[in-house]
Amino acid sequence: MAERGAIAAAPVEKLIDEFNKLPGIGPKSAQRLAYHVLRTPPDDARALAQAILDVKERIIFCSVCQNITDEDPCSICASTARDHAAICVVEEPLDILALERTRSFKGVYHVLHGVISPLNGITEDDIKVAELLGRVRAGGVTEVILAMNPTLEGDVTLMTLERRIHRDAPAVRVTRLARGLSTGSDLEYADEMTLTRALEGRQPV
Amino acid sequence: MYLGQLSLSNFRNYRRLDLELPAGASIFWGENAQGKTNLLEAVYLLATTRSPRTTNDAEFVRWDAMEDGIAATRIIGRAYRGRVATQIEIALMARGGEDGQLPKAAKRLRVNGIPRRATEMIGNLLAVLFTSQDIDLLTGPPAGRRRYLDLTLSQIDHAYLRALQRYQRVMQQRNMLLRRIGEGRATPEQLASWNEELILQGSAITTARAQAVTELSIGAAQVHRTLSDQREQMSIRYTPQLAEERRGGLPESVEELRQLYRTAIVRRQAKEIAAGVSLVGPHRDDLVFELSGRSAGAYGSRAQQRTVALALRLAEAAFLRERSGEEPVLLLDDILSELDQRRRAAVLDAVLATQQSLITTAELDRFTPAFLAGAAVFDVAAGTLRRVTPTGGTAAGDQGSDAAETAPAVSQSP
Repeated sequence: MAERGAIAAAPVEKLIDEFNKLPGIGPKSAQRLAYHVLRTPPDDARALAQAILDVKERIIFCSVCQNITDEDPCSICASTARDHAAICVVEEPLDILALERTRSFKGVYHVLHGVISPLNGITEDDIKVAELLGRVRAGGVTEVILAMNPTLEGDVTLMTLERRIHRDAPAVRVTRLARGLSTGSDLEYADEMTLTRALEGRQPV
Repeated sequence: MYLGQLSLSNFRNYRRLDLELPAGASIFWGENAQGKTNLLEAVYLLATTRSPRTTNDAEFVRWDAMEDGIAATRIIGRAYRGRVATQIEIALMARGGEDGQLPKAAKRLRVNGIPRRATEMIGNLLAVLFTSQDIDLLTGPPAGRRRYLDLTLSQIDHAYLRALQRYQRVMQQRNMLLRRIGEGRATPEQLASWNEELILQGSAITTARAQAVTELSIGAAQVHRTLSDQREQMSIRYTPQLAEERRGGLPESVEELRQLYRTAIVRRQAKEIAAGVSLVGPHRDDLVFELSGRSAGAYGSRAQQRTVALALRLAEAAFLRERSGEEPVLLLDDILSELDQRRRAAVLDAVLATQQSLITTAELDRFTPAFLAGAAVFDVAAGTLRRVTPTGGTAAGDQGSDAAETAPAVSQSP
């Protein structure tokens, strides 16, 4: 960074350092972004700064589903068009965006904000498990869909939730996402694990 | 199957090596510490992604390549199954450890140029490694015997390798949870899901090991009879920790095995929490090599132990062949010199029966002229190789001068 320090003014330097902290942004990209901001009209720069501030100051967690939102409850939880009897449980807010893009799920969500992983110091008390059980116990829920990622930690989280829900509300149906081949993919290029799962989960035609 | 090409860069004492290997027997001949064993290690790495010698991958990096602080080591092999070639590659990026720490290395695997996981790479090349340290399998600690089973089974059973990897990850997570429970930062109730996962993977590992040991034991007993004067009967006995939980050994069905596992875990929960580590499972398994019912490791003579170890390796080759339908590559690391006539003959028979063998030796006169005539001989000196014509009065040797000639098959840029 020494050569750059010699040519950039302090405020520019500061902006480069801040961009550099962002995920996926290296020193070169940070420079490029900073000089881009330098050239943009003041209004655009102000809008960017304001957007960043708004995210921090106006975004809250939905008291129902724990998703990030600017109004409580969030638009999905407040919607009367959605089926509040079906809850889809996901690890992160981004997972909701992916599921919403499908337009095929009409129920509501619950965000755990993580998975159980003792190595990372995360037990079930550190993610939004109690909040989920509260919703299930409150009644009106007929199905909980566990949409964890197919990792060891995702699987263990799934097993734990299944047990807890079954204990607290035995009548509620608990399901998980199917595992197997992705659409449009080639059998030949599928990895062994995926193929094995797909075989295990085969269905009558 | 056989390895048609082997390329090394910055691997141990090899700066760069491009080697064409024929099917059949290849002999690597040279003084000690010239790089013969390193060659076999490279081939074994391609087969298993693991070294028989070390668990620290950074050791593979050629020493003076590390001087710049960062170094890339590459092992590339071309394995032939009939006419179909598969390129397998291991790349290591090593960074020098700071302040006297050991260097660290990140390993990348590729099959036909595509990044792959170990489970997808292993099995493209099958190998059995014979070394003079094989006797340690009998006399050494149980960890060596578990490692032996894991390396052997992983080569032909991908489900086993996956279960093993997952089991290890579950253990790490579970041990951390046990410690947290001990410190009062988590509750024993939280163990339930980890226990289920441990039982699932652990039972799969135990079942596969039990089956493999049964097959290996039958094969080894057969080989042992031809190697010895048949006064003793060799057998290999799997002694899983779980068998201690029940009279009559392991149950037949997987369901019963899981139940046994579950009972054992529940019974030791308090102990596990106090210890902060998992105390039940295949990570506590062992094997016993027996001669007429007595432990060969504990009671056998040195010579008896050597014969048992040799029988095990030969049975391992047959086991891999049986399970995969492919001939494994035999890697013989300087073992012929310590064998008597009869055992040497048995090994050379196995060499002739398989598709490819790579043999290191310091002395060419251990081989019969007829064997040498059918083999490719490479001279190994200080990390360089040249193919030589053996001076054994064979037809090939009579053609030119007796002086070694460099075959076009070998090229290197030192």
